[in-house]
Amino acid sequence: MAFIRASSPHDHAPLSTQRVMQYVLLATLPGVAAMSWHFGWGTLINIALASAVAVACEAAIIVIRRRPVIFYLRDYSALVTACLLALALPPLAPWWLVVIGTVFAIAIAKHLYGGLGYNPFNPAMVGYVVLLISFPVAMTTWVTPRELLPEGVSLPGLAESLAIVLQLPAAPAIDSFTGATPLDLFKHQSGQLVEQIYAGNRLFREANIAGYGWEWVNLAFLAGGLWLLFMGVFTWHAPVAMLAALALMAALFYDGGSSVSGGSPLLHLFSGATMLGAFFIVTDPVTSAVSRRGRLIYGAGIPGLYHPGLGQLSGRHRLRGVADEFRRPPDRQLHAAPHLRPG
Amino acid sequence: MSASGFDADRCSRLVMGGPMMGFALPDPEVPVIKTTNCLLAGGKAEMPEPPPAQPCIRCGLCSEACPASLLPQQLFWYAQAEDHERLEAHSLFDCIECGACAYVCPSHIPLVQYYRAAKGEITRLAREKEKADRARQRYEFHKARLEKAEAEKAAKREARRKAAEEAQQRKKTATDKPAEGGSADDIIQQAKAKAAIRKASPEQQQAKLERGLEAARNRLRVAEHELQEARDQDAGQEQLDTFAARVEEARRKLQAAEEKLQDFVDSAGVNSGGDKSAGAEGGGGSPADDTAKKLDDTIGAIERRIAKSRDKLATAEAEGSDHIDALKQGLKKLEAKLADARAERDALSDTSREDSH
Repeated sequence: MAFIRASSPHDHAPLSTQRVMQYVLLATLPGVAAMSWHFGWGTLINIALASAVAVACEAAIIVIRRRPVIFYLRDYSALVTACLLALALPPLAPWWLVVIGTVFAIAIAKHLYGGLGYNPFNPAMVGYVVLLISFPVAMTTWVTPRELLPEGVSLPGLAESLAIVLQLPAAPAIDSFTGATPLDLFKHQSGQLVEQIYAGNRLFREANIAGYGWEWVNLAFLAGGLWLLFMGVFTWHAPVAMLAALALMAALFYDGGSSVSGGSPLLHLFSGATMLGAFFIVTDPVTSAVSRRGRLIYGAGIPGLYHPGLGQLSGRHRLRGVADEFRRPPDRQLHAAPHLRPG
Repeated sequence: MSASGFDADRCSRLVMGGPMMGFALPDPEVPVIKTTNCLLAGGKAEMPEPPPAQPCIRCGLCSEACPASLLPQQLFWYAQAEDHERLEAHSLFDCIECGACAYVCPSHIPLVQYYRAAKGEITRLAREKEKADRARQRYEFHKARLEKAEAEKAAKREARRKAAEEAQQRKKTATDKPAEGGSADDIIQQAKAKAAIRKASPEQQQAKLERGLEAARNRLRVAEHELQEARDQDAGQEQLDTFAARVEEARRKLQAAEEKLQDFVDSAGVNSGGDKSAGAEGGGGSPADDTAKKLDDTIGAIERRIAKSRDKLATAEAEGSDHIDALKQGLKKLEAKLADARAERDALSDTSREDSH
């Protein structure tokens, strides 16, 4: 009779790293859907490309490290990294941008430190920062939302998107549908009253709260995040702390719409990658605080470090922005174009 | 167990106790004891093999589950690193091994096993340290005890030596009375007198001299034997010369020993004769007379020795041996001794003559 000689406990919660990662991926679906609707095929292509590269890269590295490949691939962590990075990149980014970012994220930011659980920084965000520093123009070329395109222009279809991404000679010109992000616009036009900025840009005119298209994306990510909260994948402390601190900082620097104000809290909360950051980046267990109180402080500290209000006061946005981004920037648009930031 | 439908083939794990803190049994031959609360026979689906552990993703669920409010995550990292100090700082021994942390861990890390192993290691090291400490204590005490014994022995030796010195001091002050004055001659005479007193008894001295004579005889015999052997074996001329020289030396030493013994016997005989006569006179005669008699005997002995050495010198000069210088020096010393003894004798006789006047 050979019974298993195992150590207590003899039961286990139906929770595993695999399951956690799968939930995270599921939770991004609404956001992905919203982005694909407004910005076209680019997001999906990004995700597909990044995922493929990530899995291949991780498999290669695990083989080099002489570990069991399937066992380590099965925890879905590479896919999650790829997905988050792909969502952070502009939809029609060239393929090499995605590949470089992903390889850097997986190989250097994750495995060089020891693999899952040993990385000090979120790999997706490290990849993002590397790309931002190296290719600032490519990283700030976003797409205009579908409804805001001029008459006769439509978002490229699948084949065209692929052509653009792969930078084939047959690709159509992209100027007709590229555009800035809401906060980019805001930054560009300092000196104008907020009302004027809002009046002068379709992106804001057609919007309900914070920039057309973007608000939907953020709301979708918010929904996904709330679902994760409900499923118990993480606790409320970090996301709530971050959003609250962001709103607070925005409110502090918003004086009702003058030319030097920094945008309303709603704008900040629902534009750019705020929700993505709050529910998917800040809550990354490996790189965030462990205790609940720690998570509160951690979440609150992030907006405090590089809010544009603060950025306006000091001259060193670029340096601080890059350094902070290394951790987990919730709102990448805040420093998307550092050289264009006022002050 | 068969009464409840236990099927050993389908059972994957047999647990005595609850699912969280019970322990797995190797086989059902283990008896039920007083503290057995329940038996769990889990099938493969219910209690599968524990899956391999994945890396810790630092989710913190373990800390939230811990009923003792410990930090299982920290304990895990330190247990992996075998950092015993930090483990104790994080209250590893407050862990009740309930298994809640391992239950919720998404990476299936066997946390409780890590803590048990760490606890065992720390306890073992503590016990070994205690043993080592005790052994060291015993060793130090042992060393101290030996040192103390040594010190006591040395102290006793010192005390004995001091006591002997004091005794001699007292004796010295006793014999100092007749010879007062600080001249060099007096000191020398005092020293000689002391030596005379400190000497061993006559019988002992004679025995010693006889022993020396025996030894010299033996040595001569051995040397002659060696020489004979060398001759028989037809050794080289150098070797023969060496052996011959040794034989010669042995002979001389034997002669010296014989003479010493002879002198001693003579002086002792004269002494004993003198004593006897003194005793026959009925204990008469002052200490000065005894000293005078001794000196007379000494003078006589020395004179005999001088005569002998003069003979030797003559023989040596006749043979032309190498020992001429040594013999001459010896002769000179003897003559000096004779002169000293005569002077002493004269001085003593002068004083005794003065006393008697």
